Amino acid sequence: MIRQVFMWETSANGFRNVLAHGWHPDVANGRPGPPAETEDDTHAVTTASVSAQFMRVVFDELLYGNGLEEIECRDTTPGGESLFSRVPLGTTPDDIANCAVAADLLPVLCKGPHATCLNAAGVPVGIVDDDEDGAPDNTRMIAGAVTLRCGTFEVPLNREQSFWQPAGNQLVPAGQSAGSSIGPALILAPEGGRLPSKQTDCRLAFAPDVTDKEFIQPCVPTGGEEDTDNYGDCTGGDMSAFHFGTESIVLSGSLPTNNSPAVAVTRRALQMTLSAEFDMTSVSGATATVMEGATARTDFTLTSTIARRVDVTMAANLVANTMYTVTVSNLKDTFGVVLDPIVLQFTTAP
Amino acid sequence: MKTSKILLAVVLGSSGALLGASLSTTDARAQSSTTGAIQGRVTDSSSGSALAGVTIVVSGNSSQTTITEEDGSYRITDLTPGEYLVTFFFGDVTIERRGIKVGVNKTIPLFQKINTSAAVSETIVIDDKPPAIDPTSTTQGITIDQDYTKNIPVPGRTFESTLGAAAGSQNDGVGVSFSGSSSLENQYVVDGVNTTGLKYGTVGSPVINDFIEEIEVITGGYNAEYGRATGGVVNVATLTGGNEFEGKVFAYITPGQLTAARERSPSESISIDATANEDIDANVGFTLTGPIIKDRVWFAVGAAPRYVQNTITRTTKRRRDCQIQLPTGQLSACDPEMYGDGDADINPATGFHIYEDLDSSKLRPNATSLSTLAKINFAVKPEHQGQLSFQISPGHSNNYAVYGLRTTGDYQADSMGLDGGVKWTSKFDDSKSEVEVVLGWHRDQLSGDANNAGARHIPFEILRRGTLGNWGNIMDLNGNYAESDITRAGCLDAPPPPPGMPRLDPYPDIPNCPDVADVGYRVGGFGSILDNTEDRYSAKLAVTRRQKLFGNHEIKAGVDVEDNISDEPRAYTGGVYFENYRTVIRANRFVQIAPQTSTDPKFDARCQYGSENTEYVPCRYIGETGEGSRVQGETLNWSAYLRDSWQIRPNLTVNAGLRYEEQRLRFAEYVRDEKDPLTGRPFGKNAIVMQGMLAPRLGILYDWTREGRSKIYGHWGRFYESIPMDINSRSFAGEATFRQQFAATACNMVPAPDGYGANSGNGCDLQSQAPGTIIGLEGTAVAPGLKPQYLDERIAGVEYELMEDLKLGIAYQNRELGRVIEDVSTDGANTYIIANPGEWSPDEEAKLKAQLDAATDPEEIDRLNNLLTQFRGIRMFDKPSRKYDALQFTVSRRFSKALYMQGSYTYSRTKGNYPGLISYDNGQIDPNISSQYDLIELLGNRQGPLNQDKPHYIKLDGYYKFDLKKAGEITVGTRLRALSGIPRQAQAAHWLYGPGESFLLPRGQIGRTQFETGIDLHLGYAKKLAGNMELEVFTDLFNLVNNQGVAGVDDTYSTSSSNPISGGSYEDLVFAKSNDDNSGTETSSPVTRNPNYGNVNGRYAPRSIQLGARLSF
Repeated sequence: MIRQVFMWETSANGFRNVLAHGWHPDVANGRPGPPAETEDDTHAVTTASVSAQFMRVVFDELLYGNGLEEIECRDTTPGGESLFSRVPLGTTPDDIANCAVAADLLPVLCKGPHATCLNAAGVPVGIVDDDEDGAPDNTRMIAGAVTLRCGTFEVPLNREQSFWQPAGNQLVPAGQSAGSSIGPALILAPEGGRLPSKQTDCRLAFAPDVTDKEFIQPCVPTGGEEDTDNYGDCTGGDMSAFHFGTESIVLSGSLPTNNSPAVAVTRRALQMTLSAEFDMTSVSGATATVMEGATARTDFTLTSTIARRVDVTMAANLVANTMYTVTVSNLKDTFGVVLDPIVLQFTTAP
Repeated sequence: MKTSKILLAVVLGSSGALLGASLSTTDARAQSSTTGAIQGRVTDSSSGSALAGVTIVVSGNSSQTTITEEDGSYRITDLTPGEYLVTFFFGDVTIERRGIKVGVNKTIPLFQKINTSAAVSETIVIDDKPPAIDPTSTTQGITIDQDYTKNIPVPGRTFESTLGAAAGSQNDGVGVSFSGSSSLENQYVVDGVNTTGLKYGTVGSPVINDFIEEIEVITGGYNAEYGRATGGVVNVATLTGGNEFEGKVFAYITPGQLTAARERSPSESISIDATANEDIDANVGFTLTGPIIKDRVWFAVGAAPRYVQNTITRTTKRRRDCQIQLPTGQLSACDPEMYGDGDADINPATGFHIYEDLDSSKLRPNATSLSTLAKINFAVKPEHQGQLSFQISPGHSNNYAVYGLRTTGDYQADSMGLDGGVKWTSKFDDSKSEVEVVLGWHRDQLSGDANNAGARHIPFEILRRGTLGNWGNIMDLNGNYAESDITRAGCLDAPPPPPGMPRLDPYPDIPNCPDVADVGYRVGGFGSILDNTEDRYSAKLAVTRRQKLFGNHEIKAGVDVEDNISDEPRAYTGGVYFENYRTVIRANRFVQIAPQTSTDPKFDARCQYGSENTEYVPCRYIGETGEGSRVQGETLNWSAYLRDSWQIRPNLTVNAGLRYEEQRLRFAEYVRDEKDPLTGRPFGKNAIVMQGMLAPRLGILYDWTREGRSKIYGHWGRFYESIPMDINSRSFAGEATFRQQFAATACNMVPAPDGYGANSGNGCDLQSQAPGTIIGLEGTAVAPGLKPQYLDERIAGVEYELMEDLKLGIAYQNRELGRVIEDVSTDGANTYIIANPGEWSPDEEAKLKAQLDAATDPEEIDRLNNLLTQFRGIRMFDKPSRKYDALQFTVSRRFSKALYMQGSYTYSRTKGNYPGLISYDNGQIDPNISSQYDLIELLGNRQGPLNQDKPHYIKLDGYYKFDLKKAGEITVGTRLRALSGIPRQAQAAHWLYGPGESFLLPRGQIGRTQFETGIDLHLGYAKKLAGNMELEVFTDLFNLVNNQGVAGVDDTYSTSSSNPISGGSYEDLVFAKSNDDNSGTETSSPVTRNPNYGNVNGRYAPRSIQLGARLSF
């Protein structure tokens, strides 16, 4: 059923798209690229990137798109938000085209069991079709069709950027990589590309009406690490064989540079850039310590005004030829997970 | 059996002649593409013993004499097609067998019994016919003679129009295909000379039916004499002079007034609509045959001019916004003020937009042509005969632009077909040995040029995604507006006027004249330069020997050589052509890529590619003239064969043959000294040397009636493809295309040489380093170890003469492609490899690995590694397949008792992923280098019923002659066809390759078009005049009931780029997502839907009536 999962991880090798489940001949060492016969192609992801994340879940058979996506209708909700409509099973492109006509023709053409974009009264309101080709202009993922849960957190998905792509197979098209083309695939884009950090058990789940053409729910078979033809079976809905962990948000850059040996004493603005976005408002509840040698200084302020950056601003110059250790604790990521303390060390010039 | 005089009991005719197990007749095969043979055995009717020394004279077009051998057998060969009188002289007995019809490549079994004890001094005339079944041949097909073309309503003027009579044949849009193959896999032989079109394999010499004596259509089961075809073989024998003067004068006319209007299918229109109707098709001509020196030299001449004119009604149209659906369900009246709602009106019955006509004009393209025939046959002695033949066919056409500027698209074309042949046949050793030599020359020329001299040297540009409103103000090269005032005014998109002011645009809220179907509008120069010449020089030698050894053998050995040469331009007017997408302009030009490390200063340009604008290769732009603007291709073929037709017993024959072929495809001369960009090595002379094409053929036949009235047979054979020459100019002439992309805003052009002012391609700085895409960057490589394309065939069948002249048959035919040659790209269209998709020789891999192991130079190691990776990638491609299985039921009644009938029902399936040398799915004709195997993603969903798959096909042709005695004769002929529809597809574009390349759904998943029927009728009245003169007037009513059935539908589901949905169904298309057209990157946007998807885009021709008269003498 689920044959591969591509996702982004951050590790000592950097930020890269990797094959988190399954195997593919055009993917070496878990990453899209030239095959490497001698390398281990399995790659369990334990440090999935918590920012700029999106996943490509590749299936070996087609799912009903009806349970995954809905299409944009001309009507809007009272709040002005666009109305989207599910597509009844068995709806063909011709049925869709019948519901993409001018308003005066909708009652004539958009009717029957495959009519789409009906309002609460069952009256067709029409599909958004600005280019007048009879196909929907916009689709989005149905809320709750796919759930990504990391521990206790349910990761919200961007429903516009997530989509079901029935096209594709195991062959990599010209000009594309395996991680961005093979299919059929479900492309999952977490809202803002964000995942909770420090998680060890992230899992996917599907709504009951997300099924293949035999009405079997998606599942993850074991096996297939080295041989694409040797996948095991799986029971519909059993997603237990696929899970991953997420990275911790750590210090990725600073001013002065971490462990710098000769920082000017006038460097009062200490900037710490983290590896991923965090909740900037959590700075107010965070604690910071600045150790000047063995002495704690208290004349500083802790702020965060730029994404991913924490600023510690000293009220007075630093002391020459002294080691400083700045520790910021209790910062939280966007899901509220408390980050590991962020530590910056440097030594001032004589 | 019928005789016109006394029928003696001793004369049994042919029916009893085969009785007697000890009889050993000679083999009944006589393989010649222009002549036939008569053979048989003469025996004593009382004792059954053989009669030696019987003199046999065959009289007809020419006369030949032979004497029976010791076993009573005889054989007379090299008889031109026609009717003969065979006279047997033995002592005082003279027996005449009249009306013996000899066909091309056919042997007529004619057995005779003579009562030697009766001293009868009168002539006995026998009018019965020999058996209709050739019990020694496994060939499938049909023979078409002049009676057929005269009395059956044949929808065309040339021999190609008759080929559809054969069971298992069908029109594939390019020609007539046989037995599941594509029509480009046939071979066409005229008077013994191969006239197959060189570049694509089409009909190269369209001889008109009036010049033809007989056409033999072989759809399978042919022996080793035939090769270079994986489809069918068509043998055409033109008229041959005899000892009597004969001729005819004819005139046919198809007036447009009697032709029904073409049926239009509802469709989502565009703003320029074109409807073509035939005005007139007029043919006149004559033929004359006769002796120059009686019994020695004969001639045949003919000439037939033709004039064809059509009228294209060009209509400009706009959408409107003036109707709504009323609550009553009716459409309102058109009132833009009241019902204009901002949405263009749609016809609820069809779902398509409603258009209203703006202006209309009529264009009248026309063509003239002349067909001529000149032929001389001569006999130095009856056993030494020669033939000279020529057909010359010049043509001229005037063509008009429909979708664009007249100054761009109006052009004239001239064509010239020329075929010449010399044939010599000698017989030795009492005709037991025979030598045949044929020399041939086939030439095809085509040239064309814009009518407007100004269009000859400026780039062609196609404007897309605009509206006729945008284009309306384009000035042509003469300074005139492109469109009429009415059109320009009607397409004006004006905003709603202030209150109280008059409306300039009645429908201000909608775009009035959009170019929905992306047809585009053509401006600028003429485009591709057209000036092609093809020549084939051929020579054939065949030696035949008849020998007795455990039965009778006819052993034939032959060799033939063909030198095929093509010379054609590869250039655009102005050296480039533009695709203008309003925001983006693409400039396409042929370039020559510099080999790696080349420092040759002629590579003075820089072809940049890649999104980063950093990658480039030195290159040279190929202009209208100069090096590389013309390409010469050459292919050398030779073959040899040996076959034996061994008649083990009179009713048991084994045909065994072995054919060997070679083909050498050469690089264009101008690149031979250049270095291959991929390998860095000189191209050299030969691009492909195809050797080892061993084609065995085996057939076995058994006649259980022992009278030649039955046969049960089987056949197996292998057939190799002859690669047409398109590949020479496209793959072996260094073709690479540089497609530069410009922002349209950077290409403003005033004044505009192409008539299109703003944002024209002519305004782009073509010498700049704007990046683009190079298609064929690394050139074309040939995979080492490339093997030839072949097809295997198996046939099993039974034929039985149910009653005199009526033959029934049933045959199973299986054809399967064993291997295919196609170009593939394993690196995303940088390098094309001519390969056998799905297979690459392990031996060649080992050789390359050994080279790699031995290499020390890092660059060489990189190069070899690259080659190894690329060649290994060939194995990733699906192996092409095409499997044809057919069950054919045939019924054939030769003309007798005023009735002729020929019919068949074929149940066949043609499945696979490779239709053959024609890509029916996107219309591409590039044999062996089509796009269908270029990229790995294009293979998805290709498996299924191929375009040729029409499971049920019924054909019935026949005519009946009503003898009105002195009042003349009336002929009623008919031609009936009923066939399954064609499989439908759902296709999308490929980001790099364009429309129709991606199979969104599995082939045939959408079903097929409807079952179609058609009937044609011929009515003729003939009246004998003085002497042998006969005048016939006739009419042919084509498509009698005017059923303009569906010949094709629009299979383009989307013009968006998208990959195939493997195993998908129609419902999945709702959720398919597109790829970015410029980068191929997947997007979350649903694919667009072609409003015309599934609409009929091709129909059978409407009812038309041809009137004709023929005076024959």
